[in-house]
Amino acid sequence: MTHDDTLSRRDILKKTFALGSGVFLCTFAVKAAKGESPDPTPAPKGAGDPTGSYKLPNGYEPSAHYYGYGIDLDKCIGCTRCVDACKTENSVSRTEPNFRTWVERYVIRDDDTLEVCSPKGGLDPYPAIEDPGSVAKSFFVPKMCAHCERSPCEQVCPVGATLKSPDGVVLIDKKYCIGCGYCIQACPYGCRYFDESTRTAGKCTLCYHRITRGLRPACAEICPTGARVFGDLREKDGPLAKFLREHRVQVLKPHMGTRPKLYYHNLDKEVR
Amino acid sequence: MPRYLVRLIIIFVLGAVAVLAIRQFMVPASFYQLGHYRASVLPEVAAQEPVYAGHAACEECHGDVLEVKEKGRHTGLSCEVCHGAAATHAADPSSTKPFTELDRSFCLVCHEKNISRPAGFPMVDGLAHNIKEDCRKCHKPHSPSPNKGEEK
Repeated sequence: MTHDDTLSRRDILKKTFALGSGVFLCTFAVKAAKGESPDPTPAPKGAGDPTGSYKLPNGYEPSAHYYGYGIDLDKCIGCTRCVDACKTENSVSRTEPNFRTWVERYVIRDDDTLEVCSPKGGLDPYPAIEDPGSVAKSFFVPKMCAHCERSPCEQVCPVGATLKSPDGVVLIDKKYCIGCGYCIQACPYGCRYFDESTRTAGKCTLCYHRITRGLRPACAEICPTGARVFGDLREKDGPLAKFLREHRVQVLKPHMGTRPKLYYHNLDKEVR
Repeated sequence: MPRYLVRLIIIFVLGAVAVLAIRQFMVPASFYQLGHYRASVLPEVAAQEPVYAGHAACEECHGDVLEVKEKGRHTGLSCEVCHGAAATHAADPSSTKPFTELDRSFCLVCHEKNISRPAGFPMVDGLAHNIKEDCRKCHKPHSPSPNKGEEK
């Protein structure tokens, strides 16, 4: 038996290696010829400290801030203007389940039964409460991403598409997100959704485009009663520091160890 | 050293060099700059244009309204709560005008009687409180307490 018409093992290895390195070098050459960088907008390199001097094009320095959010449930009237403003500001689809923020209505009866509803995040009218005489208490709870210090969503992302910025905002890299949905499962607060239009995960950005311009997030801007308080935790005389100083606050699911930065005043034990 | 081991070591070294070379080429420049993500995603997200102009932008031109509003009970409200998103108006005031014709149903979004709302918040029963009347007949929106309202 001869090997004239077949490839020997050595030939196969040689040719495979030659082809592989050829293809690799060709793509490299083509990209170099086009002047393409794998990263279309390379960020300016900071000198010295890697995070200290990173700046956005408008001169905003992320590491100089650390944002949090407060919600005073004593002031929330359930008008859901925040939900509407979020949709308008961020062009989020008004269909289920695309909610970056939503408002739940809690109804607790005299016999301790609990009813929670949030029709279309609060954009649709809440159903009338049946038998109001038996209601022990009822209140509204706005919900949104807590931009956790130890965010589970960031930890489970397999491709580095979810990140916590130096200013403490949890964001999604839409170019890197592969839409696997792990982060949606991982969030204990249900603050993420699958965006069908981009086939990626979606979430609250704390209106990153607004806060980096010195504006408040749309929901905090539009809240008519001042129930929503946005602020910088580093700013010791800022609105959030004042809110935290003057109110006793709680976070949702502290036992999860996520260290949320969304602080509620007067949170009922029934709220999860 | 046996020859087969030398070959094996060479293959391993070549493989390691190839992995490092490919990694250098595939990972974006800004990837580990701030953490395990592309740092350039921050300017990308921040590039989105605001739709709500913010209260400071309204103050620049509408100081007269602000004076009235500051004395009334709607002092804490942003203009865009009732007048709608106005970034396009703030950028070019002649291009679009924020809406000003707000009817009874809009006032009742916040002021309709509702047992889930905090006690003490001003609420009315929309079906009993001067039904069919325009709220603005008695309550001037910028300073809404009845009979004390200013002209605005």
